[in-house]
Amino acid sequence: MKKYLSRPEEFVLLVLYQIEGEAYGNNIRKKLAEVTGKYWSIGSVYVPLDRLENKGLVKSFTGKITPERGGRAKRCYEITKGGLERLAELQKAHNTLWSKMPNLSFGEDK
Amino acid sequence: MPQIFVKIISFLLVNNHPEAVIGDTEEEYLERLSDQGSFNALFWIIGQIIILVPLHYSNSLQWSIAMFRNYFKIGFRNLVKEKLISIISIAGLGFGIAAAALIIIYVHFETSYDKYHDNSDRIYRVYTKFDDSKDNNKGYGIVIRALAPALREEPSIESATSLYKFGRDLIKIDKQIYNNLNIFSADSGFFNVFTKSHIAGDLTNALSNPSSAIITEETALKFWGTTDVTGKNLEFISNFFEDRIYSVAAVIENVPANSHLEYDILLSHYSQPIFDRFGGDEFLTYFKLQEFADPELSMNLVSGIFEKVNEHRREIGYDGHAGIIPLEDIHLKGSELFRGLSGKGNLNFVYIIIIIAAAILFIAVLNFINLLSAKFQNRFNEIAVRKVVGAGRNSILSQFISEAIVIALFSAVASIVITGLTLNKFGILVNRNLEVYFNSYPWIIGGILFLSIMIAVCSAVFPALRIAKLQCVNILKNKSGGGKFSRLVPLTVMVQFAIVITLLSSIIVIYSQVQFMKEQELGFDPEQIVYFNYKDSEKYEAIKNKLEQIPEIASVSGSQSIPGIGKSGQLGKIKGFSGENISFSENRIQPGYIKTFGMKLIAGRGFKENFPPDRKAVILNEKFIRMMNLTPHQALERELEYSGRLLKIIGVVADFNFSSFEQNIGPLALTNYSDRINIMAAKIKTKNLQNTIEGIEETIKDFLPDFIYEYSFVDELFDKMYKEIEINNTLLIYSALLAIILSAMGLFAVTLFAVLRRTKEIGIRKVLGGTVSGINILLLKDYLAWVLISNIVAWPVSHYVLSFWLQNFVVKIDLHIGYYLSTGITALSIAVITIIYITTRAALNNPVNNLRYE
Repeated sequence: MKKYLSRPEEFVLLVLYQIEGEAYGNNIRKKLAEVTGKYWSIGSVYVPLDRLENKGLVKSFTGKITPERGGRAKRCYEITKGGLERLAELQKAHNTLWSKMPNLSFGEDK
Repeated sequence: MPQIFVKIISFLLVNNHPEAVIGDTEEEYLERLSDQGSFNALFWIIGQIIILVPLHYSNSLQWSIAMFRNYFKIGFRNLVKEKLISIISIAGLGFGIAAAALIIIYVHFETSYDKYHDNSDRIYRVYTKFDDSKDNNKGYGIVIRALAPALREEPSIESATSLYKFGRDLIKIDKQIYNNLNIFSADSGFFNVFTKSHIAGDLTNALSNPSSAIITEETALKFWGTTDVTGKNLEFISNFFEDRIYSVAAVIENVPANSHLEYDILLSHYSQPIFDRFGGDEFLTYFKLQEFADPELSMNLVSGIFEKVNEHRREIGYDGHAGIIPLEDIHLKGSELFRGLSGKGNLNFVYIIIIIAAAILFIAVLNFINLLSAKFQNRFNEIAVRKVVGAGRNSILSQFISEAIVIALFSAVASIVITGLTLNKFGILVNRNLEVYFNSYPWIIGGILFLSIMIAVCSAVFPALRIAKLQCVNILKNKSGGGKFSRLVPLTVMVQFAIVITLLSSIIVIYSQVQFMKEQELGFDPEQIVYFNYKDSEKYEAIKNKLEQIPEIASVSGSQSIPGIGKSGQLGKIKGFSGENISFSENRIQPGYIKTFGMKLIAGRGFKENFPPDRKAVILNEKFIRMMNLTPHQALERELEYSGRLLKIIGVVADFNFSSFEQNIGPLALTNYSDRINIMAAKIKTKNLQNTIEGIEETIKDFLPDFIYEYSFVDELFDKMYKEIEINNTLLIYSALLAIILSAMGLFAVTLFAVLRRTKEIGIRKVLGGTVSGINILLLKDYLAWVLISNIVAWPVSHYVLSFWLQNFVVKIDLHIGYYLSTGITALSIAVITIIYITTRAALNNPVNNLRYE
């Protein structure tokens, strides 16, 4: 049985898809902050990332060592084939559900 | 990024990828440093650290729970592995805690008496004392009627109330007669002193109306099956007071079980005109102080008022003084308020039972400690492996403590079940209604759980500390340093048996004392005497003569009172005696009384039938004569002078017990001037009482068709007096039995472990030709010496305690060594049987099995 994704996991997966190039802790957090408008503290992205990895939706690899990082390696992530399939399913489910909804952003111009 | 932040973050971080996270942080920090300046960057990093703190701690808690789960699992497996030992330790602690819980409930109940009233600490009762000592709660529980109204006048007293307790009077409703009711009359101050909420009707002025009555909910349900009964009539029928119809003015809530003042019906104080003629001490009086009043000063005021209202009685020699007892003290400290309501509890017994509970718990805890150390000792290898793998001292400590908690939780469940099942039976045993505690059962469960965990932690901490400190190299080399435990074990055995011996000898002595008191000469023969209330003096002679014609009846006599019921107080002396008046008891009797009760005349004669000169005669008891410094024969020439009467002494009767056994027999006068009879008593010759009793009823009904015949037996009156002592005894016997069983269980387990440890030794001894009895002696001598020493400790302690207890009694047994010897031998035999049972089993084993062990 497929395990449901939590909201943070879903966000992280979506963000991961949108990042061009190397996706690692910091740029994932920045992107997330842009989208959700909420600050993500250091380390907080690794919990959903670990869970996604356990579910086989993303895979991680050790990235470059840069001097800004005090000689520490990056942990980079990319979506797997299974992850892409899951995104497609999610999109389909969301579209079906949202298409029947009226615009709920009251007071905003279309 | 400063190194200090890196360190803090790596300490707090609970992430799977610390390298990556710290790298990310470093990168962002540098970015912020260049973009926003050093202050902002610093602010950011500190904010990040603060966020990490709660995460860190919630995570470490989660891991320790996981670790504890492992400890609990191992603990549980160990429990299952050694089933017998586990059952013994669980059951032992379970019974110990259950016994302690029951006793705590009982003690709580005993000390909760009368505290349910609002401001109960400001309510007091006045009693009459006859000596100048400070309030020692000894005297008559009743006072003059005028006291309560006088107290109400006093500004520092909020209110006062006067009550009268009716005796064997009846209530009749629609031809149905109810007896055994607690009927009181109370004045209008009652509800100002005692808080009571009403269920139906109106309490204000309810008691001021002379023909109104207030009944409790329970009584209303008993009479009419409903509480909506205001305005209904009940008929008060008395052999002494005026028969009268009352109407129910209000129904009030039931009197709680922890109330010394138990009543079913309150009649208006103004309904019996005869009260106005009661000039003596007849009434219970309670008062409530104002909130601002200083208790010490108010007590002096009350004494002053008491003196004032009794002033007119001083002239006729009245020598009572005010004694004051707080309401909350009456139950436990008021047992010597003779007449009126006395306290049923016994403060000393409450102390004794607390000590016993502590002793039982102590035995159970010692057992538990012994078992734990023995269990831990057998697991050196496990500990060594744990230590090698990296367990620290603290984790070994917490492992053993949590294991002890597992066992204790099983015991807690056992004791919760035991307490629940036995609470009701225990209540019956101690003659108290403990039902109210069923409502507070969650508290009891919580208390038991808390107690068990506390015991587990306290008993595990020392053996666990010792084990945690051991060097694992030594353990693995099999150089276990467990010697120190085994030195402690015999000491605990000694303490346990000392407790057992003390309890046992106490029981034997207390039991002997009660038996001794029962066998005491009462001074009369209470067997086969039936008595009933009777007040019609006109037909007395005729009925008496008719009754005496019944062949089964030996003799019949009417009187004001009989032994076991009470007496009235008088003041006087034998004419010519140089000293002061003495206070003595008087009982007005009819001829035949001495014969009916089988009392012994030591000089002179009893009253004669139809002999008018005897109306001015008196019979005194021996004690009276001795107090007047006369011999019985000298007394026969004198006269008794009291209350304006002068009566010729015609006989001296041997002392007999008129009421309680713990009291000295006081001076007594038997008179014949009055025809007022309250009670008739008949001595029956045959064992077939029922026919005779019916015969008596038929005879009386021939004369008085409306007579209400309610009979009792005199010996039952005296049996009642032993009841509290016997309850206390039963409780003592049960607790001592429990203590013995627990100690034997402890010894059993300890020996079992000792035998297990020496399995190899026993095998080798047998191979080399050792006998079963030889091996028995080997193991016996380890513990028996300690059991013997426990005797030496226990004997002086119990001797001291028991001599102290026996001081309460006027007639008492002598303590001799036999009591202690017998208990010592009992304890010793229990120990010997327990040890021999186990060692014989081990010694009979085939040595091959023993040697193959491990």
